[in-house]
Amino acid sequence: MTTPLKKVLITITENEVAPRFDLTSEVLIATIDPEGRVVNERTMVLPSASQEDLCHLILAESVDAVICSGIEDEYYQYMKWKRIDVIDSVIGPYEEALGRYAAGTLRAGDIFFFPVMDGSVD
Amino acid sequence: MAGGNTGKDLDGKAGRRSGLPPLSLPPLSLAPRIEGLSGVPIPLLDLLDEIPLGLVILDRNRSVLAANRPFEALTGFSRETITGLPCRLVLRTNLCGRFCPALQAQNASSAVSLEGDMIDCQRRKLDIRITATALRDNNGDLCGFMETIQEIRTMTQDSTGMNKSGFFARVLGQSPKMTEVFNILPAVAQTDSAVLITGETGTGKDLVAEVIHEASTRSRGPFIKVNCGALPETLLESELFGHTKGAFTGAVSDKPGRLKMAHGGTLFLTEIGDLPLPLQVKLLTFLDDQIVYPLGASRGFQADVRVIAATHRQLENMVNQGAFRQDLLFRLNVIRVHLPPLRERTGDVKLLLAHYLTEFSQRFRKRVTGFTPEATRLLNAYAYPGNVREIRNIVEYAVGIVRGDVIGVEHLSAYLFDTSVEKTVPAPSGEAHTGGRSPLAQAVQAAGDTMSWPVLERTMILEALVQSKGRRTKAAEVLGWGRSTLWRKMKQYGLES
Amino acid sequence: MMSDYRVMLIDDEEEYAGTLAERLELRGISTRVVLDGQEGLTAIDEDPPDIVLLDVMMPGFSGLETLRQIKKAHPRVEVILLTGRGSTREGIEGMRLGAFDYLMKPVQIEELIERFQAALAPRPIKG
Repeated sequence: MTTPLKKVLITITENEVAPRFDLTSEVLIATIDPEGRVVNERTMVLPSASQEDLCHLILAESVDAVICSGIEDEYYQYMKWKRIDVIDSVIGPYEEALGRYAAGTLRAGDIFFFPVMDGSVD
Repeated sequence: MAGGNTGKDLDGKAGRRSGLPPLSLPPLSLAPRIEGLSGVPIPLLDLLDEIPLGLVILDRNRSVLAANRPFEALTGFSRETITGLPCRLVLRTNLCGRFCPALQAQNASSAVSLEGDMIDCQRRKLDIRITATALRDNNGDLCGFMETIQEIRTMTQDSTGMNKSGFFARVLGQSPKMTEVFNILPAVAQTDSAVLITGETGTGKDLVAEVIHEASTRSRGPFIKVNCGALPETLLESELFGHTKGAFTGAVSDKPGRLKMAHGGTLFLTEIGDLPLPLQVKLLTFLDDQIVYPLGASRGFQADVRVIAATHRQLENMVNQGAFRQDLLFRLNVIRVHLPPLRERTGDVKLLLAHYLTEFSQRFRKRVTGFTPEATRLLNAYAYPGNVREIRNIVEYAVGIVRGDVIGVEHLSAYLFDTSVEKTVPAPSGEAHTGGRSPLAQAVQAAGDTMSWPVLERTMILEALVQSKGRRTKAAEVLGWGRSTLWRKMKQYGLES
Repeated sequence: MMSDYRVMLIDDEEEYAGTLAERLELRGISTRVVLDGQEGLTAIDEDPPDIVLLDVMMPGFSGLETLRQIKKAHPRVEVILLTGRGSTREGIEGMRLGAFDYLMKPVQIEELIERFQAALAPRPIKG
């Protein structure tokens, strides 16, 4: 019996997939229907950056997939062991990552960063 | 459906890059070159590849313009994949953002060097040192940044991420036996001679090797570690000395060995007792004339490398059994640092328990303040055959699973209580080696309170001359120096006559 | 009709263990309850079950230590950890020590049975 809806959590910083799982303090949680549409989307600010707490949240929320960038192997293995689909080393805007995940085309290691074209120096 | 992560190691080189390339990059056909240096233009990347540090050049927005091969090796990303990406998304360090070294360099007048950690493509967290410089044109306007990245291997991680009180403070110990070690470490660091570190497993040999490197004049150079026991002989030879294209089936290109990669720095050989005899000969040749002969090469090349070796074995016994060359032992034994086992370090168990308690409490974000009296009793009585590594594991496990703020016996592994297994008390470890003590140790003793390096070195030379009855060639051997080095130093200290 | 596999439940909370065992038995799963880690180890030595449901939070001999001992002596017995309050570190330790899963109490019976079946499904032996 498979659940028709998929719940995905993305670690985010500003509007990108956060570079570090253990240093993230904001996440996006979205629900995807079987047709690949995002039916629910919310962001959460975490009280502090902690990979232990974040794993706990992921399990508590019964997340099916996690999209992140840099993550330590131990935590990666743990979530995989808990049967969560971990798509790591993703680099780029999180909305794009979410879109690709919903479309079924996101793979670990994918990079789709588009640099700011206005030549501004931050 | 979505995902498809197979759990294999991520090969960054396989990272799929989609979308348009950034507009700011020149077309690939215009690979940057250095003109005016020698007769012909030198491709920049070829030059950068030879620098034995991870190196990346960023534009004003801190996006990657170029990265060298060691950078690729360190991060796991290929340069094609990362060109045009912001540095922070590639290096993934805990310094990114507020503490960005490049931004700090922009405001500083010199290079900025910071320690932090990063996550590589193999999902490993590595401790690194980043040194950033702002690149400016003739008008002083910012045109980009250069960063070098070096891995620093720590066994004890300082919780603040930085060690402010000196390199040697990273090695913990207050016991008399450790104090003896601390007394000679500064001098050991200063000399360029080979060092042999002995001690049981888990006594901190790796850390001491690193600390010696950091405190030496080679600290800005690479620190390359090779485990002599990890690879079969054929692969080890290639790993250490490199190989040329076609040297054996599968050798599709030249490969630099670790000795070459350590040029200007230190090569650390762990488990030197596992080095096969033929490679012992090759190492000895290198120690003699500083020339590396890659596998399959007809010529060698010079490498300026200081060698530190470590072993938990009794090399003297191995020499007697014919498994280790006496001349190599002789050469390595010039400076010997022996790390005592934990059971001989009175008072250090308490110190280490407290240190690791703090470290792991912070790491796991828990408030664990101490141990119950019962747990303390048990931990104090235990012999720690695995030494410092074992005590660290015990505390890590306990802090990891404890729920309250105090660690009790229930958080300690049952094997600690296991009295049914007969534990043989290991013999007292000693500085078991033939002949007298090393020239350095003797010099330290003779020099008494005047511990300056020139005094020590001068004394060492005198001791060696006495030992070899005035024969300079022999004295040079005893010291592990080339003859010309000894001649030069004798002249320097006015010892010629 | 009884299942063809046997479960041992090791938990010091007698009432909880009793209730859980009852509900499993009602589903046809042969379940035995042991209230303490040491006793559990002895019982497993004498008559190994197929699956052990192990509470990690027990006084005295800790759950994780029990897990370690079980896997050492009976590597083929699958152990599922139960915890009243999840801790990521504990879960990671459990994974490292060879547990099959780490579940939060109160457990859903359906999920538990699914985990039993997954645990017993043929899998390649880890090298």
